[in-house]
Amino acid sequence: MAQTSLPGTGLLKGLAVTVKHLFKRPATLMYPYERNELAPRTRGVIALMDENCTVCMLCARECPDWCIYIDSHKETVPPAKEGGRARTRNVLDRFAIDFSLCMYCGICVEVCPFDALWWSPEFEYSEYTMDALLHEKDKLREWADTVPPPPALDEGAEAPAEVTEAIAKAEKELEAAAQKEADKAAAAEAATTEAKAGGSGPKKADEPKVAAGEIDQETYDALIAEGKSERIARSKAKAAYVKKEKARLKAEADAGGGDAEAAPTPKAADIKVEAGQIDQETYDALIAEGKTERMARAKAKAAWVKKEKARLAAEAESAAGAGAPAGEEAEPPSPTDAAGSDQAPSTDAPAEEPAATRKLGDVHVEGTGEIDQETYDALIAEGKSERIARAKAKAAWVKKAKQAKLDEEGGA
Amino acid sequence: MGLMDQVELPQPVKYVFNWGRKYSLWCFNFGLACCAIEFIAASTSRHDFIRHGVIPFAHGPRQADLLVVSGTLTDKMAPAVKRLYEEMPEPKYVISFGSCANCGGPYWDSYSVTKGVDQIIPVDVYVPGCPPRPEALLDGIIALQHRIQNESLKDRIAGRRQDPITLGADAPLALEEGA
Amino acid sequence: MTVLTSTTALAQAPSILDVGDGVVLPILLKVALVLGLFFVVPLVGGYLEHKVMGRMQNRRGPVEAGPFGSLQLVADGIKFIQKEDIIPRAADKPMFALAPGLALVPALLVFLVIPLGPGVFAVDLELGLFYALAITSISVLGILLGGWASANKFSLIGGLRAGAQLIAYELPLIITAITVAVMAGTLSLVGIVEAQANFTLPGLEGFNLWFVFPQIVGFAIFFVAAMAELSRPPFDMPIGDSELVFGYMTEYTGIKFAMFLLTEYAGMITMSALMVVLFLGGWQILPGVATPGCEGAAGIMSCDPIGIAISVLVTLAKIMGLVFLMVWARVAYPRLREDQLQRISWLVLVPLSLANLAFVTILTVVL
Ligand code: SF4
Ligand code: SF4
Ligand code: SF4
Repeated sequence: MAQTSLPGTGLLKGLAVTVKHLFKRPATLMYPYERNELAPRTRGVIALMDENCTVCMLCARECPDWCIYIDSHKETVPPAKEGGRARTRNVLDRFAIDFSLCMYCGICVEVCPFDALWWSPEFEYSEYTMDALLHEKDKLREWADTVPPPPALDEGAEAPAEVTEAIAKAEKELEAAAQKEADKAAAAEAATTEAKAGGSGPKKADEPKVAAGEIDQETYDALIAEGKSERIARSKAKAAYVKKEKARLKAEADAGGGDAEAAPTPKAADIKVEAGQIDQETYDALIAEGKTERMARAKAKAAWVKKEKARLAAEAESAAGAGAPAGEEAEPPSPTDAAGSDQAPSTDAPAEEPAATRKLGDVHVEGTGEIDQETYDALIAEGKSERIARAKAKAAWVKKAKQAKLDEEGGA
Repeated sequence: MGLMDQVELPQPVKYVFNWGRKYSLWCFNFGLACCAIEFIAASTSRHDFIRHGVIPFAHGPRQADLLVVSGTLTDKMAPAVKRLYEEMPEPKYVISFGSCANCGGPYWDSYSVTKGVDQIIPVDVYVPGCPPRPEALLDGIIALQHRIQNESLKDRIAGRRQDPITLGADAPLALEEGA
Repeated sequence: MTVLTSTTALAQAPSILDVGDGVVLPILLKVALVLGLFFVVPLVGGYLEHKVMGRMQNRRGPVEAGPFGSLQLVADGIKFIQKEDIIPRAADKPMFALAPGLALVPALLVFLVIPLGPGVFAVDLELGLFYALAITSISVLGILLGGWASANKFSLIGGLRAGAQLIAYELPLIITAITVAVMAGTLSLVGIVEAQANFTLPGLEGFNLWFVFPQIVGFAIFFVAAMAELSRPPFDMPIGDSELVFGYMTEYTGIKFAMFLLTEYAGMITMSALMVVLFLGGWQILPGVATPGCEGAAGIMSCDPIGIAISVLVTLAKIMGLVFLMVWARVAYPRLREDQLQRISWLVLVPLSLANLAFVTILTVVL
């Protein structure tokens, strides 16, 4: 209270503040009925996508609390091709996190190289007993369905690399198609010109060679008229002849190349593009965006290579009438791609790969709680608890189903 | 007390009595570390657990019904917690809030930390988290209220007399019954 | 005491509960009235406190127990009767058990004389005001006893603080009440209400006023002193939980603790009711306004049932208004220090109330 103010004004001020709040809307969140908008990366609980887990044990080893329990066994996968080598792989039997011990540091999520662990914002899992806080694979898998998609980017932010790439790819495909049309037209034209010329003159596919000694009369006359000495005029005219002739031959060869398109097509694997060129369009765009010259050049180079490959591949494709989608193989593996946002925790995450590389883990089986009766009985006979037996039998069922699916595909 | 832990009350009376205990949980906070901040947050305007009848900050243990242990319980502090718990009148409830109180949490290998408050007093509800959200405490309180509404005071006291610590372990209720 | 009402000179206005010629029925009705008041109105006050305090702190207060949380205090009560009854081994057991009752019974007895409307009271004593103030002072004996019997240093300090506080604030409270009695010319609470309905300032005849208008200083003193007597925050040093755990209640559990708590809430209601009677015109709606359905003196006596109902509602509304004020002060102000508390009483309130009494007495004699 200031020295000058009347005694008691401070008291009245206090009353005024409280009564003002009486008529304000309470800030209370009516929790069980109303919920906070949780941040997408809220550390509520750790969810497991067990399809992704390769049992690399990194998470269990990095966990500062040692609260991740993993059991697995090795399995031999028969060779994919006749005469191939059989491979072994780890199969996850048990994955449990003890949430009574977990310190929610997120190291396991961070360290998992296969995106099998995710943060889910669920937090309502209080329990009456502590051992109930040890959550097994099935429960962790259920939580995986609650993982939200990654948050939207800020407005005006640079699009993620994989998105730009995908857009660029699509654009390139369109462009390549247009280009092909144009090429065809040009080739047809060239062919007619060639036919008119009567097919005379040296026509060699490789390094054009020009007979020496001939001079370009036109150049010679001009130089003599300029008052140059005879010797000089002759030598220059000779050079001019060679140049002209080479240019002519090259043009012819190009036309021939155009012609060759109709002939047997180059294979996709043969597509080789010389580096060093840059895609001017991309370059300009990046410079305009204020990127440094170095980065723009590098990206433009990559863009050029991609464009070129796409173009060639498209040509090859159109020639062959079939083949892999353009640019699929050519695309350099980007690290962000692996963490692809769209393939986050959806059940069909594992990308379809060529059959040659299929492994057990790549097969996805929808389990609806079926159990493998045999395993179950065996475990019960062994004296395991009902809960554990059921969990294991479930896992066994999934494994069997996966194997069956794989065999089926192999047969087909 | 007195008769109430000797005889099984008829259902309507039991219902009313349980209802009274359920919505009058005078809460004694044992804030020991970082988790206490989240506990305090749960008592503020935003989360306001008085809505659920949890009257915060009973002045002393004698008036409290609910002990919330939030934070790292050290071996040095453990006797104090045990003593204050014993000063609370029956029927009393305990919520263990956060990993440290549950079982030591990040200090699971520390020489000086008690690995879980349930080693010294019986716990009714474990709230996981490090620290748990304030809503997680509310969720734990609702779980506890569900348990209180369905319990029999006689059984509870009898169980307490036999084995004071393991009450939580073979509790008659499970969460699956629907909180 | 009620038995004596119909025969002794203490009784003045008849209660509407004096039905028939029998003795038993009126007594039963009066006991029902007093107990009803005692157990219901404090709970309403407590609920009001919960809610108002919540809203002033941008919270909602209780919502789950009963509709809008209205049964929160009922739930508290049901819980308290189930709690274990702990008596410390070192405690003086009979005294320990007696203390809450000693605190509670006076709070209950005050309700005997509180008039809620024309005829709506258990008994109208000629010395009603004296009786009310005397009885409320007994409560502190229970508190002191409880503090001592607990064999706990915090309890003892709390009890002593409560005693010191009571002595300090009883004085201005009683002096102010005497001032009002001087103005009204009676000690009967019903009489004071009636006197207010007829009160006018000299020179302003025909313009009815409640005592609160000429006695605004007296009202302020009474209000502050009442809060201090009840140990309501910001005058809750006896239970100051930052220093004394829970003061004299530290060792009390279950139903005994609930009795102390109920004493506090009932005290809030009785003090508010006394203020309503002494300063706010009792059951009169507004100064100079006759209650519909009443025809007696000043339009507030001899009412038909509707008039009685309106009067009772008006009184209760005024009581709740004052409870609201107490809660408001509780939310707005931090707890005082013990020395500040004593200084306010002895250096401000006591001289002020004495001057007020002298002024009013002289005026009354002169005019
Ligand atoms: S969050 Fe930290 S403590 Fe919890 S499981 Fe993962 S690594 Fe372990
Ligand atoms: S969850 Fe990730 S880090 Fe852990 S074992 Fe599986 S793949 Fe490895
Ligand atoms: S559980 Fe975590 S937040 Fe809570 S007290 Fe322990 S370390 Fe702190």
